[in-house]
Amino acid sequence: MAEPAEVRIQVTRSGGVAGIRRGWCVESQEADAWEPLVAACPWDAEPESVGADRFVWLIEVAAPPPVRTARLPEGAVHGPWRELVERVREQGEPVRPARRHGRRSEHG
Amino acid sequence: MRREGQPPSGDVAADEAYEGLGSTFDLYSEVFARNSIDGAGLPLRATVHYGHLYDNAFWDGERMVCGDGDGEVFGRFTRSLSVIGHELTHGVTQFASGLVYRGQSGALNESVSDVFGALVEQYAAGQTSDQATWLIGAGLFTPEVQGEALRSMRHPGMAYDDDVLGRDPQPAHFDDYIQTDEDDGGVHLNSGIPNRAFVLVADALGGHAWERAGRIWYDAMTTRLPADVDFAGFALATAHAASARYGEVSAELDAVRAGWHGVGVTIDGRAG
Ligand SMILES: [Zn+2]
Repeated sequence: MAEPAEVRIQVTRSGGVAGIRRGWCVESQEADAWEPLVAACPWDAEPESVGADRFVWLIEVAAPPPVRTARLPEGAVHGPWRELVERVREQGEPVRPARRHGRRSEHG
Repeated sequence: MRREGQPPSGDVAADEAYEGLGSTFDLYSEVFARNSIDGAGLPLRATVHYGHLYDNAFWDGERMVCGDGDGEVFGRFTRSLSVIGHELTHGVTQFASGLVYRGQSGALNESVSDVFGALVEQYAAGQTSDQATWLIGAGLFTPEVQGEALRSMRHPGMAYDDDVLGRDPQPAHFDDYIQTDEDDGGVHLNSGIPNRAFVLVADALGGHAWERAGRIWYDAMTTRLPADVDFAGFALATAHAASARYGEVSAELDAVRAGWHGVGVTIDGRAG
């Protein structure tokens, strides 16, 4: 059995003109590398979106503790948020879309 | 930057955006007698090549902004005239009704952009309702993607089915309305419901969709529509628009009622 991951962070992008959901998730044992990135983000801010067809980002930190969640309009993803999102996309794995209708064969 | 009346710039995205702004202006001006998106001649503006491998096009409150795509899922977003019409219609909605971009009013905001985006394309091509694809964003996906467009207004939920992107999640009926916190409350998902209602109306009336179905939707969206209107309220507004323009006993009002009924949205008995 593998040890439970010390780091588990998922970033999910929804919206945009296409309305297509994409997700990336990183699991790692290197809490020291990730903790400063997570801590640098302004978790309490609630920025507003302007315009239409902007992406919406959901940032979920399951570990290291505490569990944290933020929902961000695309325009707010800069500075430490951008750093975190980019790192998860680079070092994590894409989250496969759910097979909600089950009419295709399973593979991969 | 290519200004009105200047020759082609040689930049494909800039030239496509320029042509698309012109086609959108023409539909609103020639069919609905609306002078630009604010009704007062506001110059239409676009930014192209936005960001790096940016997989989106959006309306920033003042202009259309288009990315070049990542080359894996999407190519450049200016390729689709329906998407250009969609983005600029967000500007029309902003000035006309200010539909709140969340939940049902947000899905209506999205749907109205799809409706007029499709009509820009159909008007430019001279297509009738039965000749039109009713696809939004056809040709934006790379050949790697199993799908033909971002959305199908005629068959919501059938536009793509791909290993990386998953299956087109749009519902086609109000019974399947999606409650979610993502995507500003599912605005790009639930728009499938009013999109299909519009196609049902356009099909029932036949001919060029912009002439009667489009006129009814345009009247509804520009006549005292509450910014937080829900599907039923918008359906009622289209019924009022149909009876005001075509009469209380008319094929147009019948088509509007049947269209909304077809997607499970009931129009209040006082309508028409
Ligand atoms: Zn939109």
